[in-house]
Amino acid sequence: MSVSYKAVQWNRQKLVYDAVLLAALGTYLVGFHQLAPRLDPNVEPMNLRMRAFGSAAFLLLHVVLSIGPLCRIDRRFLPLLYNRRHMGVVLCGLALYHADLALTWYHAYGNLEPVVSLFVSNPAVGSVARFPFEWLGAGALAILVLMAATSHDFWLANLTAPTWKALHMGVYAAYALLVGHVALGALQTNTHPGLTAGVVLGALWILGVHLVAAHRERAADTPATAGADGWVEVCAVGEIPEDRARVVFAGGERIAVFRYDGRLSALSAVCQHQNGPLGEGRIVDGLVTCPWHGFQYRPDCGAAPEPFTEKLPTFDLALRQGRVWVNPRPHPPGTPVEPLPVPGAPGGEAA
Amino acid sequence: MIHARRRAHGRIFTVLAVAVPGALLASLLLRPEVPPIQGGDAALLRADGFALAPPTEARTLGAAPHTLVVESLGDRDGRRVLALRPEPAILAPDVLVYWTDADPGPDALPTADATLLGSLSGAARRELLLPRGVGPGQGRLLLYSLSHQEVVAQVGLGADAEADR
Ligand code: HEM
Ligand code: FES
Repeated sequence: MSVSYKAVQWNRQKLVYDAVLLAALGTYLVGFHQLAPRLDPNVEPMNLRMRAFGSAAFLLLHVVLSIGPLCRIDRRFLPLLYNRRHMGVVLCGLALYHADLALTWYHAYGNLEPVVSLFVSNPAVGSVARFPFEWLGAGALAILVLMAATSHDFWLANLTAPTWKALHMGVYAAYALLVGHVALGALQTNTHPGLTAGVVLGALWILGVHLVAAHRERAADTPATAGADGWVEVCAVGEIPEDRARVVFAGGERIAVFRYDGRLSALSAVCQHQNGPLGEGRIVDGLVTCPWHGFQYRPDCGAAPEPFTEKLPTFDLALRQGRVWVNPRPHPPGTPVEPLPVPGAPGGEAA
Repeated sequence: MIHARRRAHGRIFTVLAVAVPGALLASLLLRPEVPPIQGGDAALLRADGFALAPPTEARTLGAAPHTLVVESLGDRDGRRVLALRPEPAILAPDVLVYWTDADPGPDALPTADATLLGSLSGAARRELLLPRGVGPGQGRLLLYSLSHQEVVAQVGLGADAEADR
């Protein structure tokens, strides 16, 4: 964690983030209630609200899913990533209200429990136009609720980041279910070309940004070839910018080699918080700083500054004919390793 | 993310890149075409027996509360054509219209020699063809609710004879 991090308290950045989020949502919901009746004067007020909240949740899901890949493509999107969990929780709230409206409107006035009615009243699974698309919405909602309920750092710490990340990858199943919910629901009855185009372009966008980001990630995961002694060549010393890192894939994981104050240090490139890409971070106040939420680590030992306790594995470095080599066998997390002086650099060794 | 998660992530998106466009495309291609109602769809209404000709001179026949607005629309294939519109709408389910030349007496059910002409539909104006050879003002109509199995009203066509000539 960074020195100034407060686990559960609000900070200015979060307040601004949430204020902008809520203002944008309010504008959308009010705008929808104003505009939609002009396009369809016969719409029932209940359907209007159902559609406003359902579409707001679906749109917000597109935003949430775009943030990750956009940050890999351009660092300027990183401020969006900082608090995206709040977006997920708000999205879950919108979806719950949408589902509650649908349950009340379509299922509350019969002689069955609304939830029972939801799952038994339409068995037309073989039909496209009459498919019980609400089931897909319900499946997605279950995933969204599970994710929102486990979104706090308490769960992150207790489940450990890899398990937590695996759980939260459920969002992609939720996304696929929701594309089905809309394609087999709203798109079957509302054939307005604008709605069809919106849903199709939304899907192409989500897939497009992820495929572009995945392409870049794959390049970063090409294993470096090891020398006879098992060490791996990283790059020429001059290729590492000051206060930044070069990342190499070796020993099954990414290693980040940071340059700072005329010295080099190698750490695991996987942040201990949410497994963020530490190798894309920079040195701030002499500490390696994660680009995602600002957790910090000492470059020479991989340990977070007091009073925080996160520790990263460290690696041995060597200079061979002006090129940086790393030993992919990690030291236990938090092990101090003497930084490698950069020849000729101020603070480093004389050439 | 750790490498294992990155690989899972990559595989998930490979599946999504095929499944999502495929599902979208299929659901759009299989979407039923329901054309909007237009003037050209009058044929559908005519096939269902709704009278689409502009209203002509009409007579109100029968006794309240079940009165019929009856128009004579001339002959078609040697059969007299009537347009019927309940005024007010008859609040009974599945109202069938029979023609009979006999006087079945009050509340009697349509007998075997009564001819089924068609059904009424709310307050809509329906077109019905009388049996071949039925002259102007001849016989009477029985309005029979199929679900309730009772004659809702009898309307003699005699009073229509004047207008029909
Ligand atoms: C139990 C869960 C759910 C039920 C019963 C449900 C039900 C419905 C119903 C009945 C409609 C059609 C409304 C209409 O056309 O008037 C609808 C549309 C929609 N739903 Fe859901 N839904 C559920 C979950 C979700 C979730 C979790 C989301 C998104 C996060 C969502 C997003 C949408 C969208 C975007 C539409 C199309 C709105 C439009 O026509 O503009 N739904 N849903
Ligand atoms: S600070 Fe959250 S992942 Fe690194």
